[in-house]
Amino acid sequence: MIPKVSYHAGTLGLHRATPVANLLLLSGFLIVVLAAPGILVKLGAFGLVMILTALSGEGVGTFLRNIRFVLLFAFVLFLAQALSVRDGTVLFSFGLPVTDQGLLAGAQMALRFLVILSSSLLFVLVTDPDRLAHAIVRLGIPYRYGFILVLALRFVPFFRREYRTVREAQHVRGVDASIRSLAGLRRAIRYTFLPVLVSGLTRVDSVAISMKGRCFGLYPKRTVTRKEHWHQMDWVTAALFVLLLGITVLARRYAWL
Amino acid sequence: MCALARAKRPLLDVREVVLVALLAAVGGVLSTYVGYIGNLINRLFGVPFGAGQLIAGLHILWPILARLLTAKFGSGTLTGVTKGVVEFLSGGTHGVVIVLISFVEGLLVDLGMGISRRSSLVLTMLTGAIASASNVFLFQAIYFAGVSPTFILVMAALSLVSGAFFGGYLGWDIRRFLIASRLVPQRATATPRASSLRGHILTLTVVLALLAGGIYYYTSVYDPFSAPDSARIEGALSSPYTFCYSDWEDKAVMVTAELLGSSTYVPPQDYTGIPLADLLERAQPKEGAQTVLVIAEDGYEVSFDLPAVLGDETVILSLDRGRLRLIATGYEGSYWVRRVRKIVVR
Repeated sequence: MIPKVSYHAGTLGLHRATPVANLLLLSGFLIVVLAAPGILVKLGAFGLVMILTALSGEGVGTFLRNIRFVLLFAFVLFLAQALSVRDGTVLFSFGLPVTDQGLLAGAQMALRFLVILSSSLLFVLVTDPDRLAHAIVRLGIPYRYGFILVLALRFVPFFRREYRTVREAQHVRGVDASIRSLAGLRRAIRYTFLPVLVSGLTRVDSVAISMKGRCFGLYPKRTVTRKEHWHQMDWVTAALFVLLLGITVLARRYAWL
Repeated sequence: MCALARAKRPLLDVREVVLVALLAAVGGVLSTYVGYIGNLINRLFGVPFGAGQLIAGLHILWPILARLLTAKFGSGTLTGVTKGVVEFLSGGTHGVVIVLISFVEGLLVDLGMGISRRSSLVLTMLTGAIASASNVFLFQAIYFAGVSPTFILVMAALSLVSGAFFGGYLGWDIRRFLIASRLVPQRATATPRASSLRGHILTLTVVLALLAGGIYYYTSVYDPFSAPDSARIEGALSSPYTFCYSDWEDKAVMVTAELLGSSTYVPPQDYTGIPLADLLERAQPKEGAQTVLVIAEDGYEVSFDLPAVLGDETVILSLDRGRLRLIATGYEGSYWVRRVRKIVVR
C-alpha cells in the first residue's frame, strides 16, 4: 500500500539539479499540459518526461511499470470523456454514440493526466524532500511556517512504522480488515486512525519543549548552514522551463493540434 | 526564557506548529490507507472510480482537527497544504495536483470554521461537507471537463455526505475523545480572540464572492496566450472551433453602419469583416439553440437572438487594431463589443 515511487539519491541528470530548479521544471510541465490545447504538444511533453527519466539514470521500463496504474486510469479517463462528449460528428456507436470531438477530448484528458502524473513522479524520484523543504523556507516563507513541512517530513517515517505496527497488531488480534459494510468501514477507520493519531499526539509536547529549548521562534529570521548554489544542470532545467513556456504560448497562439 | 524575548505574537506558537506538522504527517501517511479503502469501495460497487468519494471526508479530517485543536485561522490551510506536499512527495497517486486540492480543502475549512467564534458540531459538519465536495469540482476542472454534470453532482453529493460525517463528525468526536483522555488541554480548543459573527459572515461573503468572480474570470474568460485575432466558438454546436480572422479574410464583406451609443456617436462609415452568421453556420448550431453570446476578453458580454443573427449578414466580426471587434449594424452601441474572445451559442 505504501507507494513504490520515492526519492533515491543519484548523480545523473535531474538528480544534479537543485530542488527549486526541479520545481520550476515541474511547473513548466503543468503549464504546458493545462494551457496548451494540442494533443501533439502533450505527447511531446510525455516524451520529454521519458527522456529526462532515462537521462536521470532511472530505467524507463521500471518507471513505466511503476506508473502502470496511471496508464490504466488514463485509459479509463479516455473512455469516460469519449463516451460523455456528444459534440461533433458521430464516428460509430455501440449503444452510446462516439464522436470525433469525444475521442479528441478523451485523448486530451488522458494525456493531461499522464503528463501531470509522470512528471510528478519523476520529480519525486529525483528531488530530496528534505532539501526541498529547506529550499522552500529559503524562498522567503517565514521559517516558523516553512518548518512545518520540514517537521512533517521528519514525522513521516515514524508514522509509517506506527501505521505498520497498528495494522500488524490488528492482524494478530484477528481484526477483520475487509470492508463489506458501513459498520466495517467505520471500524476499520476507528481501529487504524485513532491509535496512530494518539501515538503521535503523545509526542507533541516533548518535541515542542525540545524546540523551545533550542530557541526556535526567538528571532524573526533564521540563518541556514547549507546553501544551494545553481550549477550547469540547474540552468539546463531552467532553459527547459522556458522552452515549455514558449511552446505553450506558440501552441495557443497558432492553435497547434 | 527564549519565548519571553519575543516581541510579536505569531499566528501559531511552537506547540501548535508541531501539532499542525504532526497532523499533516499523519494525514499524508494515512492517505495511502484511505486510497486503499477507496479502491475496496470501488470494487464493492463494481466501478473503476467515483464510489471512493464515500470516504473523501477522511482527507479533510486533518485540517478540521487542526482547526478544532488550535482554534486559529490559518491552521487548517497550513495543515492542508503540508499534508498535500507530504502526500505528493510520498509518491501519492494524484501527483502534484493533490497539493492544490489539499490547499483548497484546508482554506475552506478555515473559512467555514471562521464563520463563528464558537465551534459547534453543526458548523464543523457543514464545513467538512463543503470542503470535501470541493475536490470533486477541482478534479472536474482538471481531468473531467467533458463529463456529464449529473455524474459530477452525484460525486459531489457523495463527497458532501462523506465530508459531513468522516470529516466533520469524526473530527468533532476525536477532539472530544482527545480532551477526555487529556491528550489535548481543554483551553487549547477555546477561541483566543472574539470577534463579531456578523463581521465574519461579511468577510466570508466578500471573500467567497471575490473567489467565485476570480475563478469564473480565470477559468472561463481570461486567456493570455491566444492569438489576438482569434475567438473560440462553442456551446450548443455540432462543431465548435477556434475562429482565426486571417483564415477567413477571403470571405470578408463590407457594411456601412452607424454607432449610436448612450454617450458615443460614430457617423455612418464602412467596415470590413466576416458575417457572424457565416461563422455560426460553420459550427452548425444544434436544434433548440436560441441565443448567441458575444464575450469580450474582460468578461463583458452581450446576447443576440440566434435566428435573427443567422439571417443577418450585416452583423460582422472585423479587425480593429489587430483585435476582433463586433460591428452590430442596426443594434445600439452597447452591442458593438470590442476585443471579442468567445462566442457561445445557447
